[in-house]
Amino acid sequence: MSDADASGASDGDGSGAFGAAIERGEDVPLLTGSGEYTDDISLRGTTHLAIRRSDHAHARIESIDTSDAEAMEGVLAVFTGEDVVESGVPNTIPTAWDLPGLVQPQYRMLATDKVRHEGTPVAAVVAETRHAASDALEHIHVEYEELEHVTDPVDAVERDVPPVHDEAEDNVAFDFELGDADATDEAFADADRVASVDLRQPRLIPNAMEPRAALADWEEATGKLRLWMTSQNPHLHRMLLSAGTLGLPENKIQVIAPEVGGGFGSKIYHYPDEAVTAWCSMQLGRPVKWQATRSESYLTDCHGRDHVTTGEIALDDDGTIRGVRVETHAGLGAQLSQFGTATPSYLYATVLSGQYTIPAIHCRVVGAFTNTTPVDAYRGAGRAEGIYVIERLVDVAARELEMDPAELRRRNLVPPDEFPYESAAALVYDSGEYERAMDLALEHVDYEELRERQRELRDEGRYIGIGIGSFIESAGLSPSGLAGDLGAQAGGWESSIVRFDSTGSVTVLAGTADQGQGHRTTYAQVAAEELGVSVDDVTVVEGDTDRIPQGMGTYGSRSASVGGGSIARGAREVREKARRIAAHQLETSVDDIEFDDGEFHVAGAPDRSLHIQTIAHEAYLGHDLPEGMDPGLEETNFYDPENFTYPFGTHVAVVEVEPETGEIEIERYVAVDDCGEIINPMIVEGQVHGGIAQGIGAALYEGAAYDDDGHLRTRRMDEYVVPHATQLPDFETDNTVTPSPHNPIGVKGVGESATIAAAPTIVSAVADALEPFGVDHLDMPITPESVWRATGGDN
Amino acid sequence: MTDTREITLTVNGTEHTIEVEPRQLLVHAIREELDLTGTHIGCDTGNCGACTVLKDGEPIKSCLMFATQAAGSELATVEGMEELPEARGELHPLQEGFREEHGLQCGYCTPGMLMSGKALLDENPNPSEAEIREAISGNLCRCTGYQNIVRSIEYAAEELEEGEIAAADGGVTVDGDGSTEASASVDYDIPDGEFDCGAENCCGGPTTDRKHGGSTTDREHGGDFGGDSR
Repeated sequence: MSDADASGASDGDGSGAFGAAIERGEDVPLLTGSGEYTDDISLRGTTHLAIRRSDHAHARIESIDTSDAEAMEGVLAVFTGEDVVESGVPNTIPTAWDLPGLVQPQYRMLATDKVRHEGTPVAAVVAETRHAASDALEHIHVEYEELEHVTDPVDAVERDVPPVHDEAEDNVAFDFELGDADATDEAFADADRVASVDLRQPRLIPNAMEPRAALADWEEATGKLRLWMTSQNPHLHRMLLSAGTLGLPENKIQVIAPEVGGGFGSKIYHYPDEAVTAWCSMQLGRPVKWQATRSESYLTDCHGRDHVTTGEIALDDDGTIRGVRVETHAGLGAQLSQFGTATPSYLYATVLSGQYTIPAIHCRVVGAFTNTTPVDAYRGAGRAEGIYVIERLVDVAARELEMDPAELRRRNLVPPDEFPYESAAALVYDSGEYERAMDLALEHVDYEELRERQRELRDEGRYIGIGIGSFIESAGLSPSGLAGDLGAQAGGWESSIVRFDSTGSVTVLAGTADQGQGHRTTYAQVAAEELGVSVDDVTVVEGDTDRIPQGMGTYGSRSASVGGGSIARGAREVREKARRIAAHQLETSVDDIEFDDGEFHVAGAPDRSLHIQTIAHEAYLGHDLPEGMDPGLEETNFYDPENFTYPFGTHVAVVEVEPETGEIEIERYVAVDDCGEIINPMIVEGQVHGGIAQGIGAALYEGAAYDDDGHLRTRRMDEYVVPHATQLPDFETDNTVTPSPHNPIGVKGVGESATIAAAPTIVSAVADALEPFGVDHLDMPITPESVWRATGGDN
Repeated sequence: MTDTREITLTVNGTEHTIEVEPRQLLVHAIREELDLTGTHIGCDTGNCGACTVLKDGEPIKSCLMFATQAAGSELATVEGMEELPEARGELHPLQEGFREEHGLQCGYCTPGMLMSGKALLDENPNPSEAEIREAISGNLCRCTGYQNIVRSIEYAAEELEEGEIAAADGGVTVDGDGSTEASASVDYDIPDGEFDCGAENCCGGPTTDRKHGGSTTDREHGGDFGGDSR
C-alpha cells in the first residue's frame, strides 16, 4: 500500500543505513533502568530547593517574612526576589522574538512587586533534604493585597480590568497583522458565498512525563557553573542564563541535558525555576537540586494555544476559494515566554493557506496579557492553531455549498507543478503532492463506500462521521536572516561535528537535544550512509554544551532536517578530505577516485582501494598526507537552510457518535504523512502515533480551565485528562515521499505533523456525524456533554 | 533528629535493611535509599503509573504507599528484569518487545509499563489487545500513543509462550545455527553469588552445578518476581 521508498535519499555510498527501520541505540539503558534523568543524578553534598509560589492570580506583595522558615531544622537559606535583585545578577528572563510595537514588561526570577498568575515564584528554600525544603514553604509568610484578575484573552482586552502590567494598560502586548487586508476585503466582496466560524482553541498543558528538574553545581574556585537540566536546547539555555538571568560568561556555564523525559515544547524555555536553582548554588557554594512536582508542572510549564478566533472564508459557487479572513485574540499569559510572541503571530498566520491556493488572506492577532501561566509553543505551535482554523473553515464552507468536503479540498489544492508555491500568507512551500496523499488516505477508508454506509446508517438512526484533516507544516524555521527580519533573537541554523576517530569509529556531536525522538539512532544512520560505515561504528553525542560547542536545539520539527542536514553536510566534507588522502596514497588524481560502501578505489581498478576507516587512521598518523593538508579527519558544520521544509499529509477519522449519551467512538484513524525522505520508518511511525495521540487528546479530552478566582481548575492528572490506553484507538499509518528539494538529505521533519492534523480531523469527524442535527462545529475538547447539548439533549 | 524506622525489604531478590522516615513514600525509599533510580516519579496524585513496581507479585504505585507499609515484602523493579528466569540472562522478553516494537520514546514511563506488563502476563499469558490496554490504563505515556506498547506486550507474550512450549518439549530449544540453549523456564544463568535463595544447588546457594535443573519447582525460588502466579 505504501509507496514510501527512502532509498537513494543520500548521495552517500551505500551502507544502506538511511531508510532502515533499525532498533534504537538509546533503548537498552532506558529499558533496564540505567538511563539517568536529571533527578537520578546526585552529587556529594546535594541540597534541595523548594519554591514558594503565589496562591493568587493577581496580587501586590506587601511583605514576605522568612524568619520562621529559616529557623527550621535542615533549612540552609530562604531567599526572596529582593535577595536576587541585591545580588546584582541581570535577573531578566528575556523574550526571544520581537514584534512591532511589542510591550516587553520586566520578567524577574522571583517576583518582587506583584504576582501575576497563580504559581508565580516568590521565595526559594534550600534545605538539606527534599522534605525539609518543602516543609519550610508553608512557614514563609507572604502578605498580599489582592487585585482584580482576568484570565480570558478577550476579556483582558475588551473589558475594563486592571492591567496585568502597567506598561500595557489595555493588556495588549502586540497587535499583529499579516496579509493584504484590502485585497482580502475585495475578494470577500466579489465572492459568491461567505462562510464563517467562531471558535476557541483551549489551553493545553504539555504534560511531558518527566516534570522539569535542575541540578546546579557552582564551583567558586573556578567560577564555573554546571547545570544539569531538562532541556530541549542546552545551548539556548546557556545563552539565556548568561545574557539574561545570571550574567556569567557563556564559557563559564556548562548546561547538560541528560536523559530527558519528553518535552513537546515545554522544555524549550528559560523559566525562573532553573535559574533560581543555579543562583542558589552560587549563593551557597553547594550543589542544589530542584525537581518540580506534577502540580508545579501544571502551574508553571508553559501552556499552549488559548486562542479565540473568528474565521471567514469566501468562495465561488463552484467551490473556488477566493479569500480567508481571520481575527484572533491570543492569550499570552502573565509574562512573555521566549517564543510566546512568535507562536500566535508568524507561526500561526503564515499557515492559514493550508494546502490550498488562496489568492487573498488577512489575519489579525491581538496578543493579550492575562493572569495565567505563560503560553508558548506546544507541539504543533502556531501551525496547529492555523491549520485548525483553515480546516474548520473548509468544512463549514463545504456544508454551506452542499459539497463533499473531500471534493472541496481537492478543487483548491496547490497542484504539484506550482511548487515552489508562494502563498498569500508569506510562505514559499518547497514541494508537495497533496492530492496523492489525500487520495491514499481516502482509499484506505474506501471513502465513497463509507459515505454510502453513512447514509444507510443514518436511516437506522446511527450517526457515523468522516473527518478529513489536510495540513501543511512549516518546519525547521530558517533561514536565520529571514528569522531575524521577522523579529527572532536567535538563528535558525544547526551545528554539528562529524569526527573519525583514529581507529575508524565515528563520533557525531550534534547541537540538537533529544527528548525521546531517537536522534542517537537517526543521526547515526545519516552519518553511516554518508561515510559508508556501519551504524554501529557511529556514536552520537548530544546535550552537553562543554562537549558540543554550539547548537540551537530541538523544537519546531527541526532536528531531522536542520540537525540531520548539518550532519550530512559535515560527513560529506569528511568524506571529501578522505578522498583526497586516498588519491594521494593510491597515487592518482582525486577525480579518478570512486567511493563505494566505505571503499575508495581507483576508477577501472577496483582492487586498488583503501577503506575510509583505514584512511581515518592515516589522517591521524599524518605520515603520508597530501602536501599542505593538516592531519585529522573531522569537520565542524554550521547549516543554515535556505527555507523551511513543508511536511504535509491528510488524516481521515471515522467516528460514531451516540447523540443520547454524547459518546464518541473512534472507529478508524488513518494517517497519511509526507515528511520527505524517511531516515527510519519505525521512528517516523512512532512520531506519528504520538502526535495523533496528542491531537486526539486536544480534540476530545484535554483543555485547561481557570475558575472564577483565577485558580487553575485542571491542576492534577485526574483533572486534566492525559489520554490513557483505553481512550485511544489503533492508528493506521502510511506515507508518501516527496523530498524537500533544498534539504541535503531530502527530509522534511515529522515531530509535530500528526498533532497538527489530528485535532481538526477528529473535530471534522464529529461535526460530520452530527450534520443531521445541524451542527457544523463544536469547540474542543468535544465532551459527551457538549455533544449532548449540541444535539438538543438539554432541551 | 528526624524519627526513623528500620525496615527490611527484598528487592529483586536481594534483602535490604534501610532506615526510613515514617512518612517516606516507598518510591522515595526505592530511589533514594536503595539507589534504584529506574523507578520514576511522574505525578503526585497516583495517576501516572511511572512509579509502578511489583510488591509480592502485584503491581502497585509506589508513590501511594509509605515505605514502612512495604516492610517485609518482596519488591521487583525494572533493574531486576534481566535476572528473571525467562530473561535467559539477556533482556527480558518484555524489554526485548519494547525495543523490537518501538514501545518507548523518552523512556520515562517505560519501567512502570514494563512492571504492569509483567504483572499482566504473569496473570494472563495470552491477553487480548483490550486486556492489555486495560492492564496499562493506569500507566500514562505521552510519547507513543500506546499502540506500540500494546504490540510490545503482545511480542513478549508470544516469546514467553514459545519459551513455555519449548520447556514442555524438554527444556531445550535449538537455534537456527544448530546451537542449543535452555528455554526460558529453566535457564537461570546468573553468576554464583548474585542471588541466593538459601537452598543447596539453587539460586546461588551452595552449589554442585552452576545451572539449575529443568524442574519447574526451581522457578518458584526467589529469582522470579516475588512469587510466581503461574
